[in-house]
Amino acid sequence: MLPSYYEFYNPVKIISGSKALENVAYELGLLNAKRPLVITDKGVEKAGLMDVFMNSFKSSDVEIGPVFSDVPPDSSNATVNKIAKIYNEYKCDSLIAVGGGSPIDTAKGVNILVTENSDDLAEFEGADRLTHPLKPFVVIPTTAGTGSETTLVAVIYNEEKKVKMEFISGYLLPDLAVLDPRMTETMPAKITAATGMDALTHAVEAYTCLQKNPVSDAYAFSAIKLIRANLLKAVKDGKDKAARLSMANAATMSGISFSNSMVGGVHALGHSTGAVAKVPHGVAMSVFLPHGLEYNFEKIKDSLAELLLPFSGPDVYSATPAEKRAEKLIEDIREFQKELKDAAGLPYTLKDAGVTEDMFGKIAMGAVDDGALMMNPEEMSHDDAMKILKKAF
Amino acid sequence: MGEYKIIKPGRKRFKSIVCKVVLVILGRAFQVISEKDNEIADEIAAWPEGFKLELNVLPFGPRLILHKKNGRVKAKGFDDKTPDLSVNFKNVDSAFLILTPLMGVPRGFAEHRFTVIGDVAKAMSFVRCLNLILAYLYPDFLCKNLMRRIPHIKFTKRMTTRLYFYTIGLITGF
Amino acid sequence: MAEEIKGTSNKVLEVDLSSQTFDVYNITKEERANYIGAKGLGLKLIYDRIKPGSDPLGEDNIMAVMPGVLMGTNAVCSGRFHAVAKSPLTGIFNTSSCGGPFGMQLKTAGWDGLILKGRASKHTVLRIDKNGAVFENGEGFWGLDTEKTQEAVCRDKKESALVIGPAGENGVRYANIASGHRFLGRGGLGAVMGSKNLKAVTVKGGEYKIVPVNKKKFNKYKKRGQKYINQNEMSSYFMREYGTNANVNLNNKAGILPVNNFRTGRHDDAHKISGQTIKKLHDIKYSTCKPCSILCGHKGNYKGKTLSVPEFETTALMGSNLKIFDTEKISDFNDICSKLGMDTISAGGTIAWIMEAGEKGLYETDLKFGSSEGVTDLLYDIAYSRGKGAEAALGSRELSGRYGGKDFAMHVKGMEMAAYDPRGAYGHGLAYAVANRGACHLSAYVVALEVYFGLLKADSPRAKADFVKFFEDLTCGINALQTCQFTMYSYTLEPPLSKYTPAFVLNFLMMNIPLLAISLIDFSLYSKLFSSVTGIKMSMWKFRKAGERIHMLERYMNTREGASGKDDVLPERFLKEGLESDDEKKVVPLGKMLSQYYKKRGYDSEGIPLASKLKNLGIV
Repeated sequence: MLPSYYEFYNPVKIISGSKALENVAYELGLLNAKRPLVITDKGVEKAGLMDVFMNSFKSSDVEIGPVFSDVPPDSSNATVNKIAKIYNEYKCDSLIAVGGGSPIDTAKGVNILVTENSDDLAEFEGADRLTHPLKPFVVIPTTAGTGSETTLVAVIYNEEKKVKMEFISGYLLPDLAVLDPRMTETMPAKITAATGMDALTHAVEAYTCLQKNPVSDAYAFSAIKLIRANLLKAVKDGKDKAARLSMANAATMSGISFSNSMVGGVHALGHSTGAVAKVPHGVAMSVFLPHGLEYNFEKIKDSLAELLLPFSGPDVYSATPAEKRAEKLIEDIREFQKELKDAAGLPYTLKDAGVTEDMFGKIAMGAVDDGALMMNPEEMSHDDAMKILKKAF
Repeated sequence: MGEYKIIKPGRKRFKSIVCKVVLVILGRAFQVISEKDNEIADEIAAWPEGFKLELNVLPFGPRLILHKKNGRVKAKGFDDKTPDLSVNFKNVDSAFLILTPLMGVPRGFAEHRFTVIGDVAKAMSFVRCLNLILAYLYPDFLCKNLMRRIPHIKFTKRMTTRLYFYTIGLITGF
Repeated sequence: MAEEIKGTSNKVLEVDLSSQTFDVYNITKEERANYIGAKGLGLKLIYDRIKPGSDPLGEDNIMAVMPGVLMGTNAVCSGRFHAVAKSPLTGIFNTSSCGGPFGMQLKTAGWDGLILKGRASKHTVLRIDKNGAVFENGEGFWGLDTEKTQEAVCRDKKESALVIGPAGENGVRYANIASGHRFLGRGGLGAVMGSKNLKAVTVKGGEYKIVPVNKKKFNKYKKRGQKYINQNEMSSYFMREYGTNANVNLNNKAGILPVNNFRTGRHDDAHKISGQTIKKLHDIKYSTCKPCSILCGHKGNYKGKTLSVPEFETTALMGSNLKIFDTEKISDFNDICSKLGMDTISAGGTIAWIMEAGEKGLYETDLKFGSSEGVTDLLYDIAYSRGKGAEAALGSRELSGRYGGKDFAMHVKGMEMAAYDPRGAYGHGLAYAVANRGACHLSAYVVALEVYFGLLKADSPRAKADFVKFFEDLTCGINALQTCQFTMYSYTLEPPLSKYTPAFVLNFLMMNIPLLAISLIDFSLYSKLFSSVTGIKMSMWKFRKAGERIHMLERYMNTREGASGKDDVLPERFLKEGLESDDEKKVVPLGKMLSQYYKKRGYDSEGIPLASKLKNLGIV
């Protein structure tokens, strides 16, 4: 059944596969971009991925502009301001982000400043504050997780006010997302598992929350299928190029999915847990996913039943009676969590993730104030959140 | 030159008027009921002094501004300063759907009927207050389409507050 | 099988620490009818024994520890008892209330009171049982904090103790006495015990059962009290759910929360330390006086440790008033003060003075508003009287006397101000100025009528003198009975006349015809409880007169020590400076209210009780 109204927007060109990086130069030409500023972080550099990137431009006609690799793990406005100055100084005309959520969000922030010719991000905070297209922007993800290459959100930490600034605009979407298997090869097992669960959560929440629509459902469905089939392989053998590429695709599709069908309670709890207990995002998603689904169960069981097909395969799907499919999905997700714990040490309880009981109150308070909770099919009060936290401990 | 006319659109008068009336009632409801309900009082206690929240119908209004002054929430229809939190209905049709009990806030947000400019945490707090206010104003059969969970309010309190508002509160504003 | 005591034993254990002897004093029926018990009798017994001009920290000071007639009967909220002595902080008499287990054990050991006289020659522990007192060497306990002392000195479950911590041992002027995890908080009674070389007083109870003389009536009144408490929103919702910290948001909304040493009355971060937030953050559970049905006391999970949730006064005076809005830090300060045995209100008020004096260059300190750095160290230095702590232990009146800054030393008669800014509640300003023991917020809690219930116009001086007088009298009665003051909301507001009259009518009546309104207040439940327990006939009016008598006795005792109208003042800040958060910059019009109050009280223009009034009440 269609929602009475929905909106879907995804203009990102996706190029995926062998030697995808080598095509970036051509794509930059199509975007009329001659001197891109490259934003990445030290982790990417250390992993040798910047060498792969640089080498891919050999025999092309593109001049790589300054490469800024000092991006902190959480994008901050101070860094954004710094990079924007460099962009203007070196007269760059486009941006390339190589890395995970942080460099990508940072690049989005820089893009705002250099397009609008401003030095104060706060002016553009919120939704739909931007009114024209930004500079050409290419994203080369090195994790198979956040899906930031296809989301219209950027979160940047304001160091003076000590709050997270959120920017939501269709104009933030990159022009091009490059999925090259070489770029996600070096992710260690635990991070692969965590970012993979992040992608799974994005897809499942996009499929079950209030903003659900048939187009985002299609992406979510595909993503889930790829994740189930490939995540464990990628965790167990990082060099499995096919698995890595599949995961990268899954993450991108999850990103498209949740960018157009906002996530819900699992993310609200996860964000808050990350802020209070410093639990990495992917780990928090993994911990809360089954609990969040159980909490929403009555309102989402039909959707959950449908997801049994991509998650557990056609055999399990047809063998399970229709009214039991939703439960079976959650059971199978729990099984999957256990497998990931064994293979990569990815925790699936709050205790294992390093959260202590005295943090619950603060986490619950943060969760009920998180915008994502608005799209959760069930209302969640502070007490409800506390109950979930206790269960997830 | 001169063959084509530039057409200025007319107005949807009925819907605009309904929106204005509802915003006035809603504003009064906030002003009066926030003094009577402890949960709403708890939410407002966390808003900074001087906090201004605006409900606005793009592009020409009407507007409702809720202003926290001296610990209390006052409703007004006009203010010259930029509000701290703005909820902008994209057009009068969207506003009509949400301001009348045809559509609730969660669905309205899912359908991109309005945008929120400002601190999302305050917006969530505002929606919690709004759910309580709607529960005081409307009976359950209307409320169940407007929110995901009807807040639990003691029956006598709900009825007496509703009676008080629709008789004294709406008129006097106290 | 415990023996029965019908009504009250009327036996008071009178201990002389100098000679290590004890005696038994029998309370007469007349004393009981006129002074009721607890606070009232405590004052009377001391009045009959003490020499005016005694040094509060000398051997001539006398301390009385008195339960009331309800203790042990299992009446609702009857777990509180009183202590009375001359205060080293103010130099006049101080009465303090506590909900700890000592009162119950003392009463069920057969004693209706304890009097401590003289001074022990060495560190002592006094052990009491139904037969009398034994004096033991207290050296092994001296130096321990209040928690460890109680653990060490109580030998079994039936034994309960009053103990002092290092603060009391070292004569900190606002040291307190602990019983369980509750305190005889204000006025420095801990230093009085310390000056007597008394580390702990233990009592072994459970020997007697207290049975009301008229059981049937008593049960009826007990049930009614319970009903009122459960009906009333303040007691059954605010206090029960959030504890006294429910007042944080209420005070902040009204603009009467102390912030920045009372320079402003409101802060945007105040909600971070409210009772509502504390409940959400710290998984709180009940931890109350026994027996209690309001359940205002709580304990919570603070970073894994179970600590008492600080009371509102602590949250305000060691939190918002210092511009600290972190519940963890405030509970830390509370825990430290509890263990050291120190009043958090006076400690907080003194620290606020230090911070402001530091800002203004009058006093050398690293402490700053908004920062908790250095506060913990200072609290320890105060308790151990070392470094700058030694003079901070004397209180803000003494400090401002030495260094200047008297206009922002927030105290009355030497006792630091509590957490309700009177510039937003004029009646409470009058109450602070005339309260017998100093800046006491509980003497006449009119702020509740002015701010929480909207029954009196907060920024008008009208009718306030009448209500302050009435509530002082009623509160004295309640503190003599003794039952918890928080029953006052429910017992006076729940009877049908108050409950069903619309607020605006009550407001009009109370503001314009106060005496009529007061005469309509039904507080008969208190007098009925007294009669049914003791068998002594007591009408509502007699009960109120007893309260008046107790208040006047206290006033008279203080004037004998040199107190007078010149001490019935408020800090300059309340009289001359408006709140930063108040656009109208109101100040307290004390003068008007004060002269009215004196007239109604029967004081002369100097604030001294008229001889005729004292005679009329049977005090002289």
